[in-house]
Amino acid sequence: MQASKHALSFALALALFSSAQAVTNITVWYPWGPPDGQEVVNRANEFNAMQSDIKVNPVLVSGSGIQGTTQGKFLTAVTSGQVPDVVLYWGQDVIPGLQKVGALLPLDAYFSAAGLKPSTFNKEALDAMKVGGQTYGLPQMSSDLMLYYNKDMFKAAGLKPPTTMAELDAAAQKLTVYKGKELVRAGFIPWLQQGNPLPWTGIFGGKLVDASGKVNVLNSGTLKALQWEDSYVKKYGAANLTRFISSIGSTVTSSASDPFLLEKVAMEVNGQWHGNYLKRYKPELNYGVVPIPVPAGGVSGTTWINSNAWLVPKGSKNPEAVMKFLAYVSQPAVSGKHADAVFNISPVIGASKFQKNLGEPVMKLANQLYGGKVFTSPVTPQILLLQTELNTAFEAVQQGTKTPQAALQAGQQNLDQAAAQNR
Amino acid sequence: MSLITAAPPAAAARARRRAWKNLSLGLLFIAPWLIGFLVLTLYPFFSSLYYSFTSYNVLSPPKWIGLQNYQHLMTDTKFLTSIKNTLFYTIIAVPLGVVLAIGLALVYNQKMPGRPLFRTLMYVPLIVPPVATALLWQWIFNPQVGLLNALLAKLGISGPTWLGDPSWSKIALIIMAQWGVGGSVLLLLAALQDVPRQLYEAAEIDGANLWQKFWNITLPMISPVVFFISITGIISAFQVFTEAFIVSGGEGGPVNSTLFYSLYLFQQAFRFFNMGYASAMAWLLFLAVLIITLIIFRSSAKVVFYDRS
Repeated sequence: MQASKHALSFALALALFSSAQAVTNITVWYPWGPPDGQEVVNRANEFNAMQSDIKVNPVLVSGSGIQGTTQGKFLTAVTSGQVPDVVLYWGQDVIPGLQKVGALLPLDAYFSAAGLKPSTFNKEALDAMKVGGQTYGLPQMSSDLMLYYNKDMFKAAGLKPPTTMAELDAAAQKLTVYKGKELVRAGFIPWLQQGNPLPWTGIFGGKLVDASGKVNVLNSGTLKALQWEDSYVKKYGAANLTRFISSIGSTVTSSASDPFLLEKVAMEVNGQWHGNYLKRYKPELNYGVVPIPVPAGGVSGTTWINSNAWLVPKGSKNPEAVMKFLAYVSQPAVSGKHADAVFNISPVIGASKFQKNLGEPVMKLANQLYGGKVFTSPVTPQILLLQTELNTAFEAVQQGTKTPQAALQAGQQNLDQAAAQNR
Repeated sequence: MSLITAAPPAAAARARRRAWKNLSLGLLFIAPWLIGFLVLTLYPFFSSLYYSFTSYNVLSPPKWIGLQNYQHLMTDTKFLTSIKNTLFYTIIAVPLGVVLAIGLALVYNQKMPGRPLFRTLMYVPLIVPPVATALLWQWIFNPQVGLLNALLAKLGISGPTWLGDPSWSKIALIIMAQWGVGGSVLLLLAALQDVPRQLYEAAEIDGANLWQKFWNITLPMISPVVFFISITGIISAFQVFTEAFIVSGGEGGPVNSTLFYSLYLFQQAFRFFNMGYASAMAWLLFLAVLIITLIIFRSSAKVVFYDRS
């Protein structure tokens, strides 16, 4: 009797222990607060509710520990071996650099076991995550850029939305308002929000990495883009623009204090996700969207696309479980629902059928542009240094301290030096 | 007959055991600090010296490259820019801070109503965290809606764009640095209290005016403290980081005007994963600060007065 009691207790303990051991816990780092971050949490909760083998624990880490204020956290985690199982990053540009230092796991070997196929995803979006033919990231959501314009301001000025650079510059001038010498409303400032050097280089037809893989910031597209920005500096004054930009709220990320939302600027280059912020914080704003105007000789409807990337760090203890979660979020219905909620484009083939917001002007244009002539960040291990040098060069021109040629020359010199020194 | 006799062997052994026991007990008490110092300070200190001679990206083992990091630094344009920025900041911020601290200490040393309140208010900025200070000053320096330009406008002056202008950004950070002058003022106040009253009385009898009393009595008597705050000020200025990181978003802009030495070191280490390169930068900084401090110490005998007899 005593022996059977012990045996029963032992069997019960073993059963409990085994069931506890059967659940695989995976940690996901994601980079944003709501609404985008909340949707990641929602997907994790849905996945947890529908099965009991894997528990996904989402953790908000600003910039995913890769950029922004937590820069260095990801690298420290990989070095120490205390890595999250998967990281969701807000771009794919860091992949070559992280791959070069051995911080990422290639994912190709895990596809079939998770029921995933490369053909699940948009080809450009997936190819942007490959280095040396191997896949180091999976696209989560994609975005493209467009020109937002204030319909009321345009109507009052008797203008139509611009389709060419010349029309854009003319509209910008007509819609700029001064109070005495002080700028109180800008028609357009090329470098606000998503008007970054990378997208403008592509709009002006430039290529930052040549066929041999060498980075070249002196290519004709980047130079023309910078000369065009210089024309704004000369027209409106560097100090005037700097003073104005410093007073108009958040000029680098979407938020309730975005200058277009606050009607401090008549036009702004931003991604389709921005429509969600406008809906949330200023639904009464009467705005429209058009493709970014292109210079003479350019292809109308050209846009820059970027995808958020799922990255599996080296040292991830449960890559198979991670891929099962990624297979879930990459189902067309799930991805479509997610894209709906955050005003993004799903990179999953067939997901657009499940998106209810494609009738919204912003999403309609975004999808249309996504299927057209697109370009993305160049794939180079020097991408972070390239962005740093481009930003410095563009800033020098925006501040009126250097000519476009001199600014890019200085950047190219730093890049060449770093490449020669293997930095 | 000698009165000095050797201790018997047993007593000597007991004395040695007692000495060893005292030593062990002492070491035990300081063991937590000692372990922390060895593991968290000395080990990383010498590890970084080794890494400075390697190519090391943290994830792969370090690869010995000899003096290459140091050689590359000599031709790195941004490294030279960071040195220039740091020297500019140090040469202006430190003397300005010392002069301001002496001036404030002299004022607060006077008998006036509300003196305790003013002394407290002077120290309060020091308890505000540096990040909060930087964020606060970003708003003060805002060219359109900031407090500083609003005050200048009342005087009929159109203020610059401060942190948004490469010509003014370092000046803005130097002004920001004076916010923390309270610590130095406190030390100088204590030193001023220590100046013997009879020196001033004797000088007054000889007909000395205010300036003469300050230059010939006050300054020499407080010179050790002035020397201390100058040295610590220089060391801090060479390592300026937090404020520049916050106001420039970690970029050192606009146009690398706030790319200080420590900020560039941080970028190399944690943005570009060049840990060996960053370690070489760290060691060069250490040697530079050491040499400058030694030079200042050597030349201090001419300007620092310690003898009070």
